[in-house]
Amino acid sequence: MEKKIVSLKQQGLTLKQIAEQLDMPIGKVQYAWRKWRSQNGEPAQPVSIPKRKTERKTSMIPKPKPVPASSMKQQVASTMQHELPVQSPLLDQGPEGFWKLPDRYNQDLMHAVVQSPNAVYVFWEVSDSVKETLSMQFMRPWEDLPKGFRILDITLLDYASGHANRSYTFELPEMTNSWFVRPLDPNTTYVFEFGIRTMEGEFLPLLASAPIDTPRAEPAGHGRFAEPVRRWQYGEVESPELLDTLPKYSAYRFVR
Amino acid sequence: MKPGYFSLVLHAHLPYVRHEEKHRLEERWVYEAISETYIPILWQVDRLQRPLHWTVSISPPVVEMLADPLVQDRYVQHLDEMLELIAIELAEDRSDQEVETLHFYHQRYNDLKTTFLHWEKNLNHAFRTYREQGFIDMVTCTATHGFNPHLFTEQAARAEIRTGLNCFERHYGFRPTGIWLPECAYTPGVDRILYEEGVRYTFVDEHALLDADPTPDKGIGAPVYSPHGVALFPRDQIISGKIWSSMIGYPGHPDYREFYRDLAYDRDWEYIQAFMHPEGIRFDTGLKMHRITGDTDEKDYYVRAWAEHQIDNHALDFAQTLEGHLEAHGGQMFPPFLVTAPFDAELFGHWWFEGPEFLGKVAERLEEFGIETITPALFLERHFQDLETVHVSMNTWGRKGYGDVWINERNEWMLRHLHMMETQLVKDVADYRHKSTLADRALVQLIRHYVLAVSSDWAFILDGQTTAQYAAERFREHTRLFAELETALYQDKLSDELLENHYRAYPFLADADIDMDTFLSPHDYYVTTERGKEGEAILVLTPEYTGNVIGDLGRRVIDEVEARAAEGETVYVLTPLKEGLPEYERHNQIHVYRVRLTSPFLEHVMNQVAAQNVAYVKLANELVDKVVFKAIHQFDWMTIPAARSLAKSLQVPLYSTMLSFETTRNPHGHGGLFDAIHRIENSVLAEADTVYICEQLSTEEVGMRYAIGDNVQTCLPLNASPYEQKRLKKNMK
Repeated sequence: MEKKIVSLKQQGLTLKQIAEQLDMPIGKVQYAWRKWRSQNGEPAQPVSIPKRKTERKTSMIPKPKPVPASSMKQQVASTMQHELPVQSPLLDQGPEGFWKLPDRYNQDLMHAVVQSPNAVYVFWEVSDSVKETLSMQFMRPWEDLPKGFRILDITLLDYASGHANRSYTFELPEMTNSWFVRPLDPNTTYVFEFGIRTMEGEFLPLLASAPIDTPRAEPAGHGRFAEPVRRWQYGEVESPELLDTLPKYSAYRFVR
Repeated sequence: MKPGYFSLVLHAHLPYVRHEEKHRLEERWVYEAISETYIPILWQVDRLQRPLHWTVSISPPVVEMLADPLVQDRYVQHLDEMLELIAIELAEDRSDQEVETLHFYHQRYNDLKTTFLHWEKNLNHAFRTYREQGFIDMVTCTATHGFNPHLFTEQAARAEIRTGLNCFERHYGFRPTGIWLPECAYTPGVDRILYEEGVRYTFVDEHALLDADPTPDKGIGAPVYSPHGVALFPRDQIISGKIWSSMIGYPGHPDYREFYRDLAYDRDWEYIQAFMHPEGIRFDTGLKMHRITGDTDEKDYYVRAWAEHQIDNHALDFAQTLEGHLEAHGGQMFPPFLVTAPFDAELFGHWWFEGPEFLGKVAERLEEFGIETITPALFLERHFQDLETVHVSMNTWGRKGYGDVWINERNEWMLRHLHMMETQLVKDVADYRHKSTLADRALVQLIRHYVLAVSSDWAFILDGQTTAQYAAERFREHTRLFAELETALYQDKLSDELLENHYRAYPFLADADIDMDTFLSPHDYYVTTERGKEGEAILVLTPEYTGNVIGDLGRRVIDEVEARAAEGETVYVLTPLKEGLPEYERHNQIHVYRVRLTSPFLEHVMNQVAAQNVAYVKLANELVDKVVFKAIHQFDWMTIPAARSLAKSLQVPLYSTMLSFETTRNPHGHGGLFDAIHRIENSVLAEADTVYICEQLSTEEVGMRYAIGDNVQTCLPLNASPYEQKRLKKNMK
C-alpha cells in the first residue's frame, strides 16, 4: 500500500486525491507518505493536508523538525494504537547505531524524590500529544510557550481542593526536564507543578508530582503526625492518614 | 549483669561484580573483603566458640558471589599468587622489620587458604554453621541494595525485599525476621511492605528517632515501632563514632596498619609487574608494610606487636566507655537502655585492618565487665511490649543524613530510566504473566536486569567519582539488556538460548528467588484477565454531559451517545469533572470519565479550556494502552485542540459536531478571545473528516465567516450513525 501511495504522489496527486482514490483516511495516506519521505532521506514537511482557504492559519502549527528514521519509527510505535508495542521504550540508538539511553519516553510524568530536608529533586516529561494540543490551543509552537515551575506547600491540605498554604512560581529555561528544588522547609508537604505561563500571565499547570513530605530536621515534640499515628495505632481509622512514599502502581489504572 | 544492653550489627555488602572475563579489577573487591573482613571475622567467632550475640547482615550479592564456583576458584588462585609474592619478597634482601611483617603475612595467607578450603570454598557454610550453633545471628538485605526512598513503586520495593529474603533463605535455610535496609534508608511506607513480607525489625540512624514525631520518651535508648509496626533500632552515634571515626575513633591510631600505603607502589614496575594487571595497571596487593605513624607522609614500618597491644588497649577503653554510658542511663526500665552499634562489616579488616580482632577482644572485655550483649531479635522477644510507635520521616545514615549521596548532579541522570523500568515491569507482568513458559522466564530475567540496575552502589560510586566509569557502564549495560530482552518479548523472539545468554551475563539469583507477582497489581490483573474484550470504541469529547447540561449541546451529546450505544457501539465520554459527580461511571457500553483539571482556579476561559484539553489528552493516552479507539467525535469548540491532537496521534478519523459557532453566538464579536475561538473553530473545519452543524445553521451562513469544505454537513437524525461505516472499517486492521 505504501508503494502505491508513493507512486501516486510521485505522479503529482495530492494526498487528498490519493486518499479518495484508494478509499483510505487521509491520515493514513499522510502517515505513509511522511514515513516514506523520512526513511528516504527527504526532509519531512509539516503535516499539510491541502487545506483550502485555511492553509495560512493552520501553518501556525509548529513545523515538525526533521527526525531521523530510527526515532521516527519509535515515535510512531509508541503512539499508534491497534498494535502491541513493537519495542521496548528503553531501546534507542545513538548516531553510530549503538544502543543508548533514550533521551525521553514521550509520556506525561512528574516525579519528586527527597534529597534533604531542604531540597527535593524533581524530573518530568511532557508527551508530544500534550505539546501539540497546547500548540493547537494557543496557536503557538510549544517551544515559544514560556515554561514555569510552581512549588505548592499543601501541608495538612488536599491538593485536589486547589488550595495551598503558600506557593512560589518561577520561570524555567526551555528544554529543562529536571530541577533540584531548594531551599525548601523541612517537615512540609509539597506538590510541584510544571506548566506554561499563558499570554494573560496565568500559570497553567500541565504536570504535578505526588505530594511529598520533606524530612524533619529537628525534634518534633508532639507534632502534626503524633495524632494520626495514635489514631492508626489504636485502630480508630481504617487506613493511616499518613503519606506513603511507595504507592502501588497499576499500568492500567484508568482502564475500568 | 549490669543494667542495659549492647547490640553489635555488621552489614556485609558489595555490589555484584562477578564477571566471566578474567582480570576485572572490580573482582578484587571481593578478594579483599574475604581476606581482610569475612574470614578474619569468622576467625574471631571460631576462636571464642560461644554465643556472641552479634548480628551479621549479609547482602544477596555477597551471598551469591561467595557461593559462585568461579569466584571461589579465582580466590584460591589469588591466595596462591599472594603466597608466591610473599615468598619472593622474603627471598629479597629486606629489612628486619619488613621481614617480620612478611612472615606475619605468610602465616596469615596460609591461614586464609586453610580456612577457605575448610569451608569447601563457600563461606556461606561458615556463617550458616556458626549461626546454627547459636554463636551469631544473621539477617540479610534487599536483593541488590536499591535505595528505597528513590524507588517509584511499591512493587519495586517489594521485589527488592522479597527477592533478597528468598535468596538468603535458599542459602541459609531460614527466613530472617530482620533486614538491613540499604544505606539504613527509611522512607514512610517501606515499613508497610516490610511488615507484609514478614520483617519485624531493621536499623536506622539516630536522627530518625531523635526527629521522630512524637519525640520518643527514651530517645535513642530504645528502638521504636514505625506506624506499620516494624521495630527500628537506632545507631548510637557516640558509641559507634569511637569505632568508625578516623578522627576521633580508634582506627586512626599511629600503631595500626596504614591503609593507603601498599607494597605495589613501593616496588619497581619490572619487579612487581608479574603480580599486576596484564594490561599494565598497578593496583594494591593487600600487602601493606607500614603503620599510620602519624599525620605525616613519612610512614614507618608496621610493628605487629605494637598493633596487638593497641587492640587490647582499645578494647578495654571501649568496654569502659560503654560501661559508663550504660551506667549513666541505668535508671531506664521498660525497656532497659540499649546501645545499638550497626556498621559496614568491611570497616573491620578492610579499612581498619585490626578491626576484627578488636571486636573479638571487646566481646571478652564485655563479658568481664558484666555488660550484656543482645541481638535485636532477642531484645524484641523480651521487650516488644515496651516500645513506642512514632512517625519517622525519610532519612539515611549517609552524608548529611538524607539522600545527598544518592541523588545529586552526578547521578540524577539514572533515575528516570529506573522509574521507566519499574513501570514497564508492572505493565509487562500484567500483559505477559503465564502466557507461556518462555514469557514467564523472560519476565523473571527482566526483573533480574532491573534489580541489578537499581543497586544503590552505582549512585554511590558516581557520587564519589572513583571508578565512576565502571558504575555508569554497569548501569547502562543492565538497562540495555533490559531493553533488548523486553523487545524480544514484545516481538515474540524469545528462545531458550536467548534467555540463557541473558542469565549468563550476570548469573545472579536463582529464578526461584524472583517472584514476578511482586510486580502484579490486582487492578491490572482485572484489566488483563477478567475485564473481557470490548469492541473498538468511539472517543467522545464534550464540555457538557449528564449532571452538567447547560443547553442544547449537553442534551444532544447524551442523546447521540445513547443512540450509538443502543446500536451496539462502545463509547468513551470524556468531560470535565463537576463537583459532586463521580469521576467515573459506566452504563453498559458507555464509559463516562469526568476529568479533573490540573488547576481548578484558572481565571481565563482560554486557560480553563486548555487545562481541560490537556486532561483529555493525558487520559486518552493512558486509555489507548488497552482501549482501541476507531474514531474521535468532539462537540463544541472547547474540545477541538485535544480532539485534533488525538486524531493525529492515534491515526483515526475525526468527527465534529458544532451546534453553534462563536460568530453565530456573537455576530458582532471582536477581540483576542473572539479571534482565538474563531481560529480554533476554523482548524476543525479544515481537519475533521466530517463536521456536523446544527439544522438551524446553513452551510452558506457558516461559509461566510469560516473556510469550509465539502466535509461540512447538517446534523443527521439521531437514529442515523454519523460515523461512516465504510471509513471506520477501512481504518481498522
